[in-house]
Amino acid sequence: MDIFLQQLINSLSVASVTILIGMGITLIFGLAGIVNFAHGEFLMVGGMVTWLLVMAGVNFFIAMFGAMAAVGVLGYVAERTLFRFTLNRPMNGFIMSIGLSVILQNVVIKALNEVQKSIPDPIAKVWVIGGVDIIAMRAIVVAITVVVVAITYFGITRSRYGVALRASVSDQDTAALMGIPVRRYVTGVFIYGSVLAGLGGALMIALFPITPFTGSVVIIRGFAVSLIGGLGNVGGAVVGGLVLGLVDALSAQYGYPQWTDAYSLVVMIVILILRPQGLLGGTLGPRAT
Amino acid sequence: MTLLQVEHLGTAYGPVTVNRDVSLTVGQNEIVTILGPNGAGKSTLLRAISGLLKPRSGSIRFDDRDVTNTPADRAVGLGIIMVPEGRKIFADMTVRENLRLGAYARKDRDAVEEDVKLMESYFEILAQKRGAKGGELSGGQQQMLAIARGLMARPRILLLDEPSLGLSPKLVKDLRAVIMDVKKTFASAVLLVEQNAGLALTVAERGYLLHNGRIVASGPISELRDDRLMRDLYLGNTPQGH
Amino acid sequence: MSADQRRDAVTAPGFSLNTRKTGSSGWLERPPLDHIVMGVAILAFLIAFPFFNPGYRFLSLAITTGFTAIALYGLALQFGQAGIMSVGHAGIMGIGGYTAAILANQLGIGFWLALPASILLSALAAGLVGLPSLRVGGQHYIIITFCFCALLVIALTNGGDFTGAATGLDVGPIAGPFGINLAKLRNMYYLVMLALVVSLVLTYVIVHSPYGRTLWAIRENEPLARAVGINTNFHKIGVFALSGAFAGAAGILQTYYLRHISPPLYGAFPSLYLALMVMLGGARPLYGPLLGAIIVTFLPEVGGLDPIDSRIAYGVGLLLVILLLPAGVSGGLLGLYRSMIGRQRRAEKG
Repeated sequence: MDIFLQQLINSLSVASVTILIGMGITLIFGLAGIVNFAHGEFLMVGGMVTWLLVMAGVNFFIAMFGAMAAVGVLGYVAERTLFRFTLNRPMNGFIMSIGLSVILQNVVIKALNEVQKSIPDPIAKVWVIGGVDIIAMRAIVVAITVVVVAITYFGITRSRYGVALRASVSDQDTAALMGIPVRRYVTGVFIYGSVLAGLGGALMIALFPITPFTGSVVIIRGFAVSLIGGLGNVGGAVVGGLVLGLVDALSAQYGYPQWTDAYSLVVMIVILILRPQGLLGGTLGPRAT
Repeated sequence: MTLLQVEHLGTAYGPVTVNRDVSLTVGQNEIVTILGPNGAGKSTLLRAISGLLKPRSGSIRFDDRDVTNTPADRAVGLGIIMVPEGRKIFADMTVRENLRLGAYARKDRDAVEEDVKLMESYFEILAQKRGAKGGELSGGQQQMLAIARGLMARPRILLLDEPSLGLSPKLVKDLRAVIMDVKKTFASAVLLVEQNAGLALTVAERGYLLHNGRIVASGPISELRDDRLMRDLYLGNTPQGH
Repeated sequence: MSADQRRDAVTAPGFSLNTRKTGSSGWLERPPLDHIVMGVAILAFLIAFPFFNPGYRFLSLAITTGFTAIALYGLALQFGQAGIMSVGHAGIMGIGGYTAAILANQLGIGFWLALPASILLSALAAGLVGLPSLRVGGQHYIIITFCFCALLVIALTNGGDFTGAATGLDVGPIAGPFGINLAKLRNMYYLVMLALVVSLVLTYVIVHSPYGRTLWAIRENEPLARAVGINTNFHKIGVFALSGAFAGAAGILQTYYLRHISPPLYGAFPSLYLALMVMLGGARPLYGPLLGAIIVTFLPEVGGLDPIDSRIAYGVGLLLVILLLPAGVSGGLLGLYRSMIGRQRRAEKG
């Protein structure tokens, strides 16, 4: 029972980071209609900023907010200079985001280096809950994620803001005829999603080391999570994250570990083909051109 | 009092010019129609007025305020509401959600709920189908929903882009009654764009004829009906009994 | 009229549909004179190149550019003509390369016999990978192709002795016909250039043939194409297979050039770079893919940039190209050329 609970919290903490990045993607892809391949790099930048701040002596939790702000700004700049021009041709936006991800990755390599970065456990405590030892930081990661998911769910999905976003993604012009300030909302969602990526990066580096290549490793899981659950569906991102977490755990126990990543990929491909709108149902993203 | 004043408006898509030198007015609570064959540039004109398209030249004034370059979402706040060509209902959302979306720009949330009930009582079909997804409605029902959605915004002027397209004669009659009510009960002006003159000639007070992007005739409906150009362009399309 | 009325140059008619007189007799239009001249000039340059003593390094880069461009022509067919982008192209190259390597190592089959096998298997794989695109939208499909690459790398890495696992496989030099020593770099260069010219001509023929126009129609307005009786699904898969054939050829050439093959060569990132190159150079104009390959391969050398800087440069270049020159660098140059000609003509008319 003890081991189970520990493993559960461990898996959940990993799944949390995946959920955060997936949530960012599902909102941006599903509700703002932008496919941002550089989202993984956004997370990586968040982690790196956290690292820099912590190494400079800043308290982790303040550094975390610093990372969120930094990536939020990054997102704002990217949207205003790049993605806003491709709202009518999302394919071009996707290709540009490939370029952006290459740039970010290599700029970070240049500025820092390829060596992995890590920070000491910010809390370095072990809580005893019900007689079971639990690493405090992991539990906190899960807690933070739960709070953020709740905020996002009620703040975006369930609010009229969410309805407006869904309308905008399905028909931009008609949404404008309803009085919806589509461009402004798109920018807002993009910034919010980017902030989530920054948070994910900060939490990730609190748990394990990251490298400039971490972005490209997580991005595909992020897309997997959002596509499995359904684009624009916050609950779906949670389900997707848990599904992938489960696949990982099962593969570690019963499968061949080196094929772990493969299983998640296959799951995603299968769901994409059989049910493109995801398990919980979501938008189909921008009308692809 | 002139509500909408368009002067020497020119529109284009990239290198292709659509409208040239279009001038028209709509008075408070008037029903005005713009007629013209396919490709005359009627929809483009409405898109410019509603704010979806930036005009190349000329000006648009609403309530004596320059709205030439005002984008659509802000135009809604001023009371310029368009019911687009092809209805453009949000197919994945319910009838009620569609209605509420129409009132998105409004701040008075309680009144909005009142208006939803009002629309449902005025358009019975909306009450019956309130939980259905927009995509499940028939063409005629969608048209009524689209107009109701437009009315939810409490328009000062309602721009209607070819509402009779694809509707049966019976539905067109219902549509006529609705448009008259938009003026009488909902106290809004109407700018009705139509290819098929039948509906327009029976409901409008004044009209303009658009051809190749330009206004070629205008005047009170009775004159327009007998206008030679009208007959030339609409040979065979004269309204049969109204 | 839709809001998409304003077309960017990616969808505008390219090179081929210009209005100048062509010898349009029957099935294939004869290319206009200046195209032929340009083609001959480039050919002459390619042939003469090694005689200028470019040195080992430049020759290697030229060879790399060569087979990369071949793969790019495949991708350009898929994206430029049929409008479907994939970031799994390197994976298809890998199928071609690994087919050759495995045939060599397991069955002792050399380059020439393996060539058709590589091309066929790659075409087949590409066709299969293309199937999902019939069902899902463009962005979803790109993600699937990305996954395909990732999956392929995992499969190859875990393939044990059969695939050489993480270290990969080696192959011997190509047995040259007529006793030509293909271990010699210069001869390898000519082989690759020959393949490149064949690819170019093939691309030209395809684009200008009725088949090419059919593909174009599908890209422009699929429902309309279907309405006039074109079997869009069949043709889409067909173009995937064609594109795969090019990639397979590129893959086997790469394997025999490097004399070695290993999984990371064909992962998701090499695929991204291929996509980047095709966008940079331009997918529609005839020399676009070649230009893209040249820019990306030679830039670090010529500009004296280290690998990191050059990748940043590619990324920035890609962004600028999408924002400003949707038809890629070649499209931009083409536009420049045309406007200069136009000015000259108008001046001549007086």
